Amino acid sequence: MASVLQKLITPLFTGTPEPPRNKVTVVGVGQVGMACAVSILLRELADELALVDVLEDKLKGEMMDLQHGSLFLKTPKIVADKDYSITANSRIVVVTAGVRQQEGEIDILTYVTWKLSGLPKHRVIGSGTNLDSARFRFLMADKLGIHSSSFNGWILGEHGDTSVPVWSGTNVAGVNLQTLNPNIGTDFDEENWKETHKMVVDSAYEVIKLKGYTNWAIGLSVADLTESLMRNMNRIHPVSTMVQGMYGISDEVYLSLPCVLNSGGVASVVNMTLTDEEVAQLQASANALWDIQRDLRDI
Amino acid sequence: MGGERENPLVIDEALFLCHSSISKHGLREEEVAATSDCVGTHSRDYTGSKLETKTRQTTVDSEKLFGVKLKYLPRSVAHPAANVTLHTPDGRNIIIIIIIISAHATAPKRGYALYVHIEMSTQEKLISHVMKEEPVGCRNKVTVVGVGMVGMASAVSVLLKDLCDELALVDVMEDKLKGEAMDLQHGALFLKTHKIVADKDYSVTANSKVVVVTAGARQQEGESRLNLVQRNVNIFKFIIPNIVKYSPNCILLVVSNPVDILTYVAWKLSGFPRHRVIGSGTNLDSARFRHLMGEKFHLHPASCHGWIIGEHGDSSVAVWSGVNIAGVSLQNLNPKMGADGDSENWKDVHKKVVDGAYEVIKLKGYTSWAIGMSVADLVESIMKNLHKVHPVSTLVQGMHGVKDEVFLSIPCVLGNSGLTDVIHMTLKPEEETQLVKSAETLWGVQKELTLLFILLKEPIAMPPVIRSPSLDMFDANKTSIEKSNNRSRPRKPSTVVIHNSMSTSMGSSCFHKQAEPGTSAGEATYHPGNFRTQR
Repeated sequence: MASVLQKLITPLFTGTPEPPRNKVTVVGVGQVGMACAVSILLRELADELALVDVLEDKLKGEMMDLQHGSLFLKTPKIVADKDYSITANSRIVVVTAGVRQQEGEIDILTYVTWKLSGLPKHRVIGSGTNLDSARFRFLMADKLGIHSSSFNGWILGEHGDTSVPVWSGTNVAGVNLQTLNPNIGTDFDEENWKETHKMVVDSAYEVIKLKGYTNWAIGLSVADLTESLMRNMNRIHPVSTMVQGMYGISDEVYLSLPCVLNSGGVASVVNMTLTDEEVAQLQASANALWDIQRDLRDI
Repeated sequence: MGGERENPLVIDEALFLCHSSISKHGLREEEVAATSDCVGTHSRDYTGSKLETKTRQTTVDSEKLFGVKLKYLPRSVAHPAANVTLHTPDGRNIIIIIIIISAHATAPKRGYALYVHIEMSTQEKLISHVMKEEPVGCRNKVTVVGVGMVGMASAVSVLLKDLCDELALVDVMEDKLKGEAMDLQHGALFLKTHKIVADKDYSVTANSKVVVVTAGARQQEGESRLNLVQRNVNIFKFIIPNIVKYSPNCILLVVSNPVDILTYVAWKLSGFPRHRVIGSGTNLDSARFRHLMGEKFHLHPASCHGWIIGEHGDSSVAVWSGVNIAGVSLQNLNPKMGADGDSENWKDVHKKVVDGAYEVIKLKGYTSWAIGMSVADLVESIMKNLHKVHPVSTLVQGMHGVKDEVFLSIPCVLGNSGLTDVIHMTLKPEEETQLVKSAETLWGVQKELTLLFILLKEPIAMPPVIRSPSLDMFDANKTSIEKSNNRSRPRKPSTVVIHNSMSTSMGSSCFHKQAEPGTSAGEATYHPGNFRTQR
């Protein structure tokens, strides 16, 4: 007795189905992982999404919840398993496991990931100061009454307290803010723009204090990076990359610099003109990171 | 100020000096011209090289100069070039530097020279505001009430679909609310929604186009939706009047469970016409059903058509006759579909839909993503005036044999006026029976509510007033319509507009009454089957 499926649909092609071309895996289904997953789904970036975690029930529940929304999405296949075989053929793997604990470790963890994976350095990217820069652009643009995307500003270096806001690069419609206010970002600045950078550094702590964790902003920023990588866009993002050989840094460390991202990963790095002070800050960060990294074992 | 004569020569001199200062200090012509007005009014008296100031207050005619009142904060006056720094309310620094040429206004060819050095902020140097009118404000505002998992999933889905130009969040938990708003704002760079606001106070929700109500107690593992009722009714008694106060023309989208009952409660509490109170209903159940269908046939859910109607919950109705792919009715291919003895056990698919929520709750503690996306789907149809058909919860009294005043899900057309039309499905007798049974169950719960709580229905201008119910409430012989008509309540005039005439199976047409602008939300709603106004 033929089933409805057989009566309804006549298959024309019965070979093995094509593997996915734009598969994204998210490792870790905590708040950050799920925010990344949903942002990627709603931006329609992937044709398959895989979730991995050790908590099996939570993992299955999250997968089901996403699948129940599949009518509203353009990602036809959402899979999840504790076993990593589910992640086969991924173009991008977003590692969020364990990120919530210490904000300051992202650059070190990117280095560790690079070492453990054995991948070439342009294929291992740390989210770095992408989110810091987004927060910076939001706060600055808010002060000026414009949209964040119309304000250009970069925060580079180490993600966290010692990140470097490149004041010389801040501009709106090409009008350089440092030219308008030469004291910008210094202690002599009457308008106290430096406060904005401090707010960026503190914002993660503030949000965690208020709601217990941050997830939406980081999720959206990950989707933004994923879009550049997936769609081969050659857009520039401040992400954490291997900076040995740049700005006088001789150690194998990961710091955030403006990187051109495309489907190969980090295609190139933009040589921003930094002041001596800013370069010194980068070098200090590199030294601090290397001090910790050189003692790591088993990688 | 009092005793000085304004020697025209002095003023000319001062102007000359001012003009010569332009290139040095980057002043503009108009600033210098304005300065000359002020020379007489706010120069100071200094004698000789030793600087003394008289203790009178110097009032700067700042309004004349800058068009804005300034707060006067004098700085050091120990230097001949006495700097007076004034701060504008919006934080600009304006420094007035006074240079003394001569101590005596009467000496020829000498005088006070006063020039204004306006130290502009970076913002002013960069951006000139050219619009003279008040900014227009938002046109497509969405509010989400409740920042729990469902509320935030709805908010993020709406944001990622670029559906609004302003998003407001409300909740009673202030820290959580602020934290969530900040977290979203930090992602502003990646979004097309310029303004994200949040407050405990409902004034932040003013002028919303759509208000999504997700607030309420959450279904616990094993708890049926009906058990949540009373807890959520109490919460709604606070929320709904506040929403109505600030967005009297909005469309209410109720998500909190049990959604059919709470949509009824929201309708009663808001006083809105029925087309502006929508329950998310079985939009999600149908989505789950179509997902499962898609898995069975290896197709995208968008190409699998199936409607689940009725109660969002245990007694939802799967309309098997309507299940089709590319117009091919599956029940024609499998006549036993949905019945016992069906070898493919389609009934189990429906059971999986009903149990789906419970299973996800058991596994991850709550459901959020699917409902959030389904909310965004509905909001999209409303905001973009799509006239798309969705299975959502609306007043079904008079349809399919339902006699009670209940809300159940049927296919409805959604657009920017709200829920403007309903689709009349041809249902089998057993399907209609199920609907009637659901309606009776819901009415059984709802009528208890009517007795237990007092309907808060007040005109917008007044604060909530609790009116005592008339004794009719308890009269079993009177219908609910008559009871509500007898409640003491001011009646506002309203114009009668024939809106949608629906030909239902009962062949009655319906009137939709709209209140005149400026009147309260005491609008009449249409009532299939009879023409009495109901509120």
